[in-house]
Amino acid sequence: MMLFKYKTSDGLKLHRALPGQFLIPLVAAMTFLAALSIAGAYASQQLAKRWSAGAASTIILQIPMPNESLSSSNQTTTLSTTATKTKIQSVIAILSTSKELDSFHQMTDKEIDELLAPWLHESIQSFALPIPAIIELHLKHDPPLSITLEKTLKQTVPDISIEQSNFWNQRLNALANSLQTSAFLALIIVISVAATVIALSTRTGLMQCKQTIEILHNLGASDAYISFRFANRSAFLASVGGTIGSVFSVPLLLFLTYLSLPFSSDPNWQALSNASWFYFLITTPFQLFGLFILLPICNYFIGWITTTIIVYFWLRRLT
Amino acid sequence: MIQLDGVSLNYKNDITLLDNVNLHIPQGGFCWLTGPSGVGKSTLLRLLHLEKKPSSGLITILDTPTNHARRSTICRLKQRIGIVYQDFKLIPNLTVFDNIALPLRLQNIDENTVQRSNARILEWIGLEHKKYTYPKTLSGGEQQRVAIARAVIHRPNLLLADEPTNALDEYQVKRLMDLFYDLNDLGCTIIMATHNDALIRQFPATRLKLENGRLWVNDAV
Ligand SMILES: Nc1ncnc2c1ncn2[C@@H]1O[C@H](COP(=O)(O)OP(=O)(O)OP(=O)(O)O)[C@@H](O)[C@H]1O
Ligand SMILES: [Mg+2]
Repeated sequence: MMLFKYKTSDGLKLHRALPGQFLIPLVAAMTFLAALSIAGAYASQQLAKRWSAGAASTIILQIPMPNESLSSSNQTTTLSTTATKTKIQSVIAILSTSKELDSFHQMTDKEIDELLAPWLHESIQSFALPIPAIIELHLKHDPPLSITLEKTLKQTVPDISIEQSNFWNQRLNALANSLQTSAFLALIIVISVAATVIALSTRTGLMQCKQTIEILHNLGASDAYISFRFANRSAFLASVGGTIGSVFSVPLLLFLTYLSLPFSSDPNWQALSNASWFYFLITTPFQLFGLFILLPICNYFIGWITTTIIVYFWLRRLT
Repeated sequence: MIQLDGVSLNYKNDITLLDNVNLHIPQGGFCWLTGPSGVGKSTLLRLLHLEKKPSSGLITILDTPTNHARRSTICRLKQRIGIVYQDFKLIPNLTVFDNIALPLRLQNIDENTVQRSNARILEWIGLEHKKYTYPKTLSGGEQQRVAIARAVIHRPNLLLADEPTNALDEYQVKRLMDLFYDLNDLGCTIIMATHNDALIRQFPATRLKLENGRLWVNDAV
């Protein structure tokens, strides 16, 4: 590519033909909107992640009054030796011998508190409520639980509740996905508007420099040279706008992150079955803040590509 | 080698400027282009400079057929052509020095060479003391000399000059013709449009006469 050593000495007064005072604020506003839609996608992702803790291969057991002893009438013959055990102990005994589980985990009080924190704001212990024991089962295969294991559990502890419906899970994933799709569409619209703004400003700049461009072209300046000059300037302005826009979106995003903090401490996020590309893009606030570097860079390229295309087409019509 | 085969040029309002023009100029040729005002001399030069496309016919410039040439080919050809426009077409916001340096800089020639060539040519046109001034502060003759300098600084293979002498005094004209002859001796093809019959008598060469869209070729007497 032809690059001028003394860039200012080709007579294209680009700082005058492509002034920043309109382009920069407009691009900054677009970047701000882009940051918002990405944050929206992120928040919905976090929400879905939190709520679908019981992912596809996870089953929740609830045992009311876990420390009650089992009455002998409820015992099956196979478990006759467990007569003195509490409900929770017998359930754990059954689970430990089962071959269809990958693992199981009884939630501690702290974990239950964490789970309920967004709704309760205080420890569950401070409420005089009987709290059921909650056990998370991770199956080796897909749900449901085998009939034999389910039967055994039900026979041992008749009031056990086995939550293995994926119904809410699927609903929440669908909701999160549709929120992400909307955010993605919003992003596309924002990018198109930004590209249009850049294209219009480039056209205005080209019209202003028309005579100089004609002379340069006739003296042997290639299309690549002229488009490089314009693209360089546009991309610079766009990335300045992008930086300003993303700086302005920082406080808002911090606030949103703060709001969604209670939803984002799920240890089981890896189990989330429905992992989209968006999910990987913005899994943690750390990656979210990576966006502030990414946004100006994206703007730079949008500016560069848009301007190059416009200049090439314009030059083609010129001669 | 320059060749036109059946070249016609019409404007949309049915004016026929060129009508089936055929022309062959070997490399290193020197031609005068004459004809009454408004007959299309400047337009013909613009066709030869590949700024315009003919309505029909084939144009070969520096041995390259140009009708279906790629834009990059045209661009490289233009870098081998020097042109002095009738209205100079200097870039107003560039100094004399930067205007003259353009053809070299657009070819990405290293800046030392640019400085050296430029200094030599500025000395030749006698405008060293004005190299940092802008075109609008120059007289017509000075602007014309800058335009000439810009056309020859990169030692073109083809020089198209549209009335390059009309703002110059007799002494400058003589020097200009010396320069053009020197370039011609180095193998540069030169086509020079002029109204000045005295000049043609003084420097005899092949004469192309444009009249009513037709091109007549008179070899030097
Ligand atoms: N784009 C255009 N559309 C219509 N007519 C044009 C166009 N460009 C030039 N002409 C006409 O073509 C004719 C030839 O113009 P040109 O400048 O080539 O003449 P010329 O021979 O160089 O004249 P002069 O000796 O005065 O410089 C003129 O009558 C001009 O009006
Ligand atoms: Mg003319």
